[in-house]
Amino acid sequence: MPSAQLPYRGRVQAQGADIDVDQKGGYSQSWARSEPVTDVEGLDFLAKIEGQCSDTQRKEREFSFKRARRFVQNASKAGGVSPEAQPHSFEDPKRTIPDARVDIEIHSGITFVPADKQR
Amino acid sequence: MTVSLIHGQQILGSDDCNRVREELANLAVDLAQLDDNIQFFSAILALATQNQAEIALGVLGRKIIEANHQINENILWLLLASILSRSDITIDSPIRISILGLTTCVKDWQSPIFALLTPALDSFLMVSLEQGTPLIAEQTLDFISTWAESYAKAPRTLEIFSRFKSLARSVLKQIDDEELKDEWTEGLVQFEKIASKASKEKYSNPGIWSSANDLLERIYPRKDLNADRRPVKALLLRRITSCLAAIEATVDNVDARRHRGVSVVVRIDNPENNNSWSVGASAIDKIERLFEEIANVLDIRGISTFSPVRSVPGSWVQFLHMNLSSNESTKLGKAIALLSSEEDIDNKERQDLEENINNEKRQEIVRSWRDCATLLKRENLKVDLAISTNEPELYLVSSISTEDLPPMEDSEQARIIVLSHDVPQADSLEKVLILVSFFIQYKSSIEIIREKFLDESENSSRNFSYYRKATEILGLVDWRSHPTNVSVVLNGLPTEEKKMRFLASQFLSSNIGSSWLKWSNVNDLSDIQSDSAYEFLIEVCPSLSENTAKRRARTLKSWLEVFHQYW
Repeated sequence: MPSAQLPYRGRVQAQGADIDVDQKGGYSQSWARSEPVTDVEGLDFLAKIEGQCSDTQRKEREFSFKRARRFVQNASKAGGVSPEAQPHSFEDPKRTIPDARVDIEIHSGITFVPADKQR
Repeated sequence: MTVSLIHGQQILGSDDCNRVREELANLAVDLAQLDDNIQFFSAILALATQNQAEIALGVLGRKIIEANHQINENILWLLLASILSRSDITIDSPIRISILGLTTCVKDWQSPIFALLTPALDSFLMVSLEQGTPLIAEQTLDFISTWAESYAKAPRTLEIFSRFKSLARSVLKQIDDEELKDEWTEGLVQFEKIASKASKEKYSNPGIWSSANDLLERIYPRKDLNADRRPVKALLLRRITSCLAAIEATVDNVDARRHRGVSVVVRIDNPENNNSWSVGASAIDKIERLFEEIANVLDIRGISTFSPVRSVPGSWVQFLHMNLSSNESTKLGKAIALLSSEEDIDNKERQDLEENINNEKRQEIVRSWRDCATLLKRENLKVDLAISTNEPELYLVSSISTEDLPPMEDSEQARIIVLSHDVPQADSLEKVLILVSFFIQYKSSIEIIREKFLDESENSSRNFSYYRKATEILGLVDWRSHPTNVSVVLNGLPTEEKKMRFLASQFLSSNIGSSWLKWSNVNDLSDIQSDSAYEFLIEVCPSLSENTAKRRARTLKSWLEVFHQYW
């Protein structure tokens, strides 16, 4: 099945002008699969893009990552969220780079389901 | 690709949510240009089912991220206003999360078009904070504390600010992540500081009264408005009207005089473009009368007339004020709020309101509103009416509109229709005569007249209202409670026989008497059958319930029987 037709699709991204210099379009982890993404996997995706950030880039987005993780955890407590619960971009009001942010995009399927129930 | 009406209907016609989402995601959306596709999304957000609106807003949220939050201000306003024009968004709807993707794009909440939406957004967010799931409540808190500086500057009353603050604080208390809690606390403190200052200051940009109307007129020009877009425009106008009433309370909150009372906004739309003063003034008179009738039902004694506050130049958007005590404002406000949720029987808010107004009074209030709306519609006017008081629950009240009533058919305009306030409910013509004499004797004080009448006739306060209405129906007292010349002539007649004959003549020239004559297809009062009163009322006065029609038919029958003796 082409990836665009798989029922569970989405991505997490760390974006901003400071990242564009190294990686045009930002650091990103996307998924297109037949099984829902769990909260553990969601947190892992976020950890991966956070790991790709330099210290300065991470510092710019420290609060943003915290809030994105919290969104995943709360979504899991609710049993997962649909693409209709599209969260706003997570930006830090104290950032120095104007467009520094972390995004969670849920394109299709219930996402961030609790890992313990998924098993 | 531009979406056509048929294509749009095809997209929304599918029962498969995934398919609808994919089709919407595939539509080209230019967030810099307000084109047909944007208007299509706006229509879904305002008018489609909640499920379809949820899908559309989720899709838009991702498109905004893809566009790096570059979105034209007018588009942003239109989409936000479209969502906020819905009054049916459930407490667990994902719209409560995805709407924040739009609110975070607003750069200046003090700019008139966005400031105007603040009452609606504040109310929406307060529900999310108070009743939303933990995810919804925390996302809302995240918006408030992270975008504190801009949103805090939006105009709101001190009462709303206090409520907002307390709800946000109670969500904050539940946060179990200390680091996050500290960060959000810092943001919230900043929000509170700025919002407190802004609430005490007067919002001063005069553009707030007309900019949203003007923008909407540019988006949906009256002269080439398609039938499918008309309902969206009407819905947005109604939301604008209720926000204007709330903002009116906000900007004037430094003026002690306006601390007491009800802010009223009336929007009159005349499709025939007859903008003469008399058309609008007569509509305002009818609405003032409606308020007076509701006040009578609720035993509000301090009811006064409307004071003009401002109007939007070149339009029939009128800002009025009714100076009442806080308690009276709340009573009156609740009655209007009840009318605005009349159709929505499951609405919790409505149940709360109903606890304060019993069923009989509610029916009378609804009848008064229907009478008023019928009169306005007979003049081919579309009127939206919104109110606001300082009471937080009555800060933003959905507007009521003549359009809530079914359209009047041509045959209906031609047939005999009597309004409930044309029909008397005061059996004793002797007591009518007593009341008229008091109106002549004590013309300066309605309170003295009421007291004297109640003493004399051992009647209840409610009955005073019915007898007062009877004197108006017979043309003896005008609707400002001044005795007419006719009443002076009547009062001067030497015998009861002459007085009753005179009253019979007045009855024939009243709406109810002449309609009964016409309905009976006769030419003389003596030919009207008193037993036909109930059948007559049921047929010509559809706003009366069966029980009320029976009650009022009794009055008509007793009057007619007296008149027949003297005619």
